[in-house]
This record gives sequence, C-alpha cells and structure tokens, in this order.
Amino acid sequence: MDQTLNIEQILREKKKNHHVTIKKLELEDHPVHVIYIPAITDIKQVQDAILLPLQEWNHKETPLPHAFSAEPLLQLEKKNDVDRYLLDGFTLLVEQQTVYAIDTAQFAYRSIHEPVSEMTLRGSRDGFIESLEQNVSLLRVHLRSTDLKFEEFTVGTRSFTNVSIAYIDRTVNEELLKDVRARINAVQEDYIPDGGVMEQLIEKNNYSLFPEIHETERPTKVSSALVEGKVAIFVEGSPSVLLAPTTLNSLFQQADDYNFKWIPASLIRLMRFMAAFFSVMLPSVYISLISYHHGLIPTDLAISIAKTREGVPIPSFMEALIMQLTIETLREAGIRLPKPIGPAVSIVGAIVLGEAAVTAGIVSPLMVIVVSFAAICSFTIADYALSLALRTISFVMLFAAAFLGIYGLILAVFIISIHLVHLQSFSVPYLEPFAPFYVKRWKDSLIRFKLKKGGGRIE
Amino acid sequence: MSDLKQLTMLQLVIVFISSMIGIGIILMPRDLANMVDSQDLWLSIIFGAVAVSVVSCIYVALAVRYPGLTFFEMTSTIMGKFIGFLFNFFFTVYSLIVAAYILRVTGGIIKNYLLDTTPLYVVVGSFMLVSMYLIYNGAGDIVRFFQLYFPIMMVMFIVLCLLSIKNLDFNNVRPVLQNNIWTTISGAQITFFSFLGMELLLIFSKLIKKKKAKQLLITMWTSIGLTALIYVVFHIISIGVLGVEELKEITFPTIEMAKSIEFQGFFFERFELIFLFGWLTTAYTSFTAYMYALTLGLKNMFTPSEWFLPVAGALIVALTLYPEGLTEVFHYSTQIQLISVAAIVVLPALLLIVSLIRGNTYAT
Repeated sequence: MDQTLNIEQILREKKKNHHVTIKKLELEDHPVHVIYIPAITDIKQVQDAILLPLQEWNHKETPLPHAFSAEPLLQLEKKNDVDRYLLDGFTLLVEQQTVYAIDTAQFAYRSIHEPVSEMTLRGSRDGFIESLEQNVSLLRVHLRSTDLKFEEFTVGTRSFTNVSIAYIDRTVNEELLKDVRARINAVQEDYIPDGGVMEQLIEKNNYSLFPEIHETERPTKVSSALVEGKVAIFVEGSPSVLLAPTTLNSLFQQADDYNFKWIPASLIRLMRFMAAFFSVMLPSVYISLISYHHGLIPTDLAISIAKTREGVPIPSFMEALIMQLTIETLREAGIRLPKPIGPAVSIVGAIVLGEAAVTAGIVSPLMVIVVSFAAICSFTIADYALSLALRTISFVMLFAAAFLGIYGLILAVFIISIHLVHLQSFSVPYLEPFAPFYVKRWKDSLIRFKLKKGGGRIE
Repeated sequence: MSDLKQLTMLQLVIVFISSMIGIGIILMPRDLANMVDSQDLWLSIIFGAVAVSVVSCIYVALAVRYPGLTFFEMTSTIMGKFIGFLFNFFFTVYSLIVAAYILRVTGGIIKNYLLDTTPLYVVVGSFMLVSMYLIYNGAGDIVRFFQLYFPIMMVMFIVLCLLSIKNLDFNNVRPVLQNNIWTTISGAQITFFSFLGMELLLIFSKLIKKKKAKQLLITMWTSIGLTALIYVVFHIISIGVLGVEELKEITFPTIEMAKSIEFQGFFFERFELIFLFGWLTTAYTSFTAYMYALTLGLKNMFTPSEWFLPVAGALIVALTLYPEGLTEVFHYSTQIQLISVAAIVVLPALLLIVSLIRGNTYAT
C-alpha cells in the first residue's frame, strides 16, 4: 500500500465519513484544515488549545509547530499514522502538505469502582477500568518505582487494540520478557474484545482446563505480582489485567491473606484449599462409597443413608449428576440475570428444586446436602477461571467414581496430578513450590508465614 | 522442555524410596513370618538393607564411571554390541517381569478390597493407561510426580502408624533376639527383594551428569536407610497388632492391620481407605519406574518408534492376565527372585569387572 501522504485524498476520504469534522481555516490565504472526531475528542480543548491560538497565528512569523505552547505537536509521515492518530482521539492539523497531530482524546469511560468479581474485606477498593491510561495511572498509585517499565504493542489487524506490558526492571526474568513479547507479537487476530481473549491467544496449553495466566482487576494484586518478578499485560478496553507466569498456588492467594495477621490468615487459606478439594471430590466420594464400598461407612451412618435413599428411583450416580447439573444451571442463571430478579433464582433453586425434589422422593436429602455443600465450597475459589476448571473436573470425577469407585477416583486424581506436573506457564512449572520442591517458597504456599520485618519482601 | 537436566540429591532419594516401597510392604510380612517364624523378623530387614547397600556400590561405581549413560547404553560401550544386546534384552525382560508382577499383585489387592466384581483387565488396564500417560510425558515429569506424592505418602504412613499404636500389644514383639541369629540372617533372602528399585540408579543415571561417588553413595544409603526404617516400623507394628502366628496366615497382613484400626464417632470407621490410597501411590510409583525402565530398554534395543509405549503396555498387561489367581502368582516368586538376582547383581557386577579390566570410561 502506498504510504506517502496525499492530502487531497485524505481530505476527500474524511469528508465522506460523517463522524469526522473538518474545519477549514482561511488564514490570509494560508488554509489550515483541522480534522477531529467529535465523539472521542474534548471539544473544549479543541476550542481553547487549537482554534484560538490558530486564529492569532501569523504563518509568516512562526512555523506552525511553534504556535502551540502547551501541547506537543507531532508531525505525521505515513498514511496509516493519520488514521491511527485520528482514531486515538488526536486532532489533526493539515497545513499545505504536512500533517500534525495533537492529543485531544477524551474517550467515554466509567469511573473507578471496586471490582465486582474480587471482593476483599480490607485493603484498597480500587479496580481497573477500560482505559489503559487510567489503569496505568492506577498501578502507579500503588507502585511508584522508577524501575517500573512499560512497553507498548498494537494487536488486532482491525481493532488496533493497544496492549502494554508492565514489569519491574532488573527483577523480571529476561527470558520471560522475551517470551511474552514474542507471544504478543505472534497474535494474528482481527479483533481483541477483552483480556480473556488475549489470554487464550497467548497461552500455550489450549487443551488444558487450568488457566495459564492469572486475570485480575485489582491494582494491588498486579503491583505485588510485579514485585515478585512477573509481567502484567494490560489490554485497552478491558478491566482485567493478565499476570504471567502463574502457578496453581498463586491462584489460591487473596489480598486479604496479607492484610490480616498471619495465623488466622493461614488457617483461612488452608480452609480454602480444603474447600477446593471438597468441591471437586465430595460428591464423587459420596457416590463411590454408597454404590461400591458400603463397608467403609460406619454401620449407623450406612443405615441412615439407606433410609434416606428409600424410594429414590434413580441410581446414585444419576442422582448426583442431575443435582450437579441443576446447581450449575442455577449458578449460570444467577450470573446472567438482572440484579432485581437475582434473588428469585435462589428462592426457586432452594425451595422448589431442593425441598420439593426431596419431598417428592426424587432425590435423597443427603445427596442434596453433599452436592450443595460442594457447591458452597466451590464459591470460596476466588479465581473464576480456576473455579470453572475445578467444576469441570468434578464432573469427570463423578464418572470416574461411577465406573471404578474409589479406585477410579484415585486414578483420576493421578491423571490430574500428571497433567498439572506437566503443565507450565511461561516455562514456570504450574505446581511450582511443591513439584519441583522449593522449600524456601513454602512459607507462602499452603500457609502464609509471618511477614518479615527486616526488609524482606512479600513473596 | 519438561525434562530435567540434572537430578538433585533430594530428588534421587525420593525416586529411590518411591520405587523401592511398593508391593513389598504388603507381601513381605507374611513371607518373612513363614521364613523366620519369630518376632525378630524385623531384624532380617536390617540385614537385607546391609546386603543391598553393599550391592549398591556396584551401581555407584558404574554410574560414576559412565555419567549421563543409562544401563542400556553402558552395556554396549563396555561389552561390545552383541553381548551388550543380550544384557539389554535380559534387563528389559527383568523390568517387564517385575512391572507385571507389581501390577498383578496390585490388581489382586484392588479386586480383593475395593472392586470385587470388576474384571481384572479393567483394573489392570486403567492402571496401565495412567502410568503410560505419565511415562509419555518424560523422565522429568516422572521425577516431579514422585516428588509431589512423596510427602502425601509419608503423611499417610505416619498417620497409619500413629493410629495403630492403640492396637499395639508389645507382648507380641517381645522378647527380642530369642531366635537363632542365623535364621534371622537368612530372612535377608526375602527382605533383599523388597529393596528392588536400587538398580534404577542405572536407569536414572541418564539424568545424573556429574556426581561424585561419595555423594551418590550417601544418596543411595540414605534412601536404603529410610526405606529400611519405614519397613522396620511397619513390621514391628504388624507384629505388635497381629502377632507372628496371624501374620503367617493372612495374605495381606499390612492391610488387615490398617483394617483393625477403629475410631468410633468419626465419619470413617475404618482406615484401610487411607492406607490403600497411600499404598496405591507407592505401587503406582514403583510400577511406573519399572515401566519406564522397560520402555527405555525397548527404545534402545530396537529402532526407536512411537509404538514402544503401547507395545510395552500390551506386553505387561498380557503377562499380567496370564496367571489364574494370586496364588499362582506367588508360585512364580522364586523364579522372579532368581531372575532379579541375575539382572541386578550378576549383570552389573560383570559390567563393572569387565569395565575395570578394559579400563575404558565414558571420557576416553
């Protein structure tokens, strides 16, 4: 494509587009065209900073770039640049055969709110928004380091999405940085709507259930990850920032773990791991116990289980599967529904489906308890991608338990461990402090050991 | 990408312990009780450990002389192509037999305690597939998997030991050293084989680039010592809980011991589930180690193709389904022990002697 500037052609093209405003200023037979898109431009700034100085400008005394004192003026060389800058909210000044651009962008953004998907009790309440610039400034609030470096990329052959990576110089691994750059440059997609799409485009293990990249909306999480030597990937138009590399351990960590004293925080973190385990295993262990290994249940309990199952017409595996599917449906419905109708779902779910199904004798009450406890356990997993992975696995576990009982469950656990052991996120083993062993990093794994006071850093 | 370049000492210890403890911990008490017939039988384990420690010097000497080479590569370097091939063939057959033996006993126990109506080939086949998946991922992942499950295994065993203390009757263990010491020492014939897994140093030596003989010896002896300690503790508890007379009669004494633990008012009244999980892990790790040796052997002897893994799996499963029942399997144990001695003592010893005479090392 011809990249040389052809002013007439540009003006002709832009005139066709109704969203583009072109103002022609006749300054003593020296025409200057002012081009901007009103929807993404600060009109007041155009008026005060461009049109007013231009009217007082004498083209014989000073060249155009010197007419503006506050805003820097960029001279554009390529045709592509003209479109890029115009779409980034710049105002273009066309003087004879040269084009200049001034930053006057004012895109529509929402204000900063607490992220809905990641709640904390204590700690900062700010969350990222859709503006890349604002997100960078949010990060700078938490991390005022000169070593904090940014690199800009443009991804998307149609959307020209701005992507920028952040890291802390000298802390970050150079190999990791090279890997991230290469993967972002390799993306060949028309349109990048969100961080989640970017995540899938740059990750390696597309068949894995587990997220290879940690997604967060909290600036504090990003800043502490950067201090650890990770790389953050900001995508314009997305409030979720991607952190690479990630490990299973880091997906379980929460900001609140560090904001409270270490003993209760560690206990809560341990409980979170237990809850994740229960959410995956509990229904399948239950059905394997009652359909294969009655002998392992204490006699009294076995009798009471048998009583509750009296008259239930379907096998326990089907019962568990139906209940699990119901809960997944309720959860999905709860997410998609508008807020005012939300509570209605829980009422329908709890009373109609739970109570009535038990009274009608379709499912046993114990199964309702087991499945709903597992569901509540899965709510403790804060990272939604991880929780999706574990919920999928819990279905696999149900099938394994139905085929081979406890033995099948153990084999399924082996398979998942083998997969996790094999998995790498940007060349970092996914189960990092456990396999391979890094005993030094265990102090922030299952439990969170006390913070060092003598200048140690939180890892 | 996932392959480790170099094993650390800790990783080596874990690999050895994981491959040594396997079906031995389930079968040994009964065999020992029949052979030694006294409460001193745990002393035989120590004698067995000493014997294995001596044999392990051969492996260390070989591993130090030929760093970065597996057994299958050493043989042809030392003995020449043809005899090397025979050695490799024998070692591969040995790995095949041991792997099949472990798998058959495991399958038998699973059928006995967990799935009595499921056909054996389903139990064995699914175990095989899971193991093949791990081996497919490479040696680095095998080591990492062992690492991941090692603490879990240890915790299970410790929990089981602690829970058994209530049932322990020390009158069963006492008096010590009443028995004829020679009978106790002869028990080492049996205990020696529960330390099978040491010879895998010659397989994992691929991942040992440069280690000093002293370091390797310490690693080997640490793992033998820890394994012996676990065996001894288990045997003392088994004798204490069940008594020698009962040990002779029960097929799987250790599981029965776990079964005898009862805790009223807890959700699980019986704890064999915890034990079976811990033990299944050890069986899996030791089986995978031998299966890995087998695939390496096949890879080395025949032109490499991507079919060696399914072939190895099919061979093992076929061999596993051959005996009718566990009693028939136990009949073969004498022959298996003979093959083992030939493969893990005679072959490496011959290799070392020839290598010393010819004086060639990897470096020259």
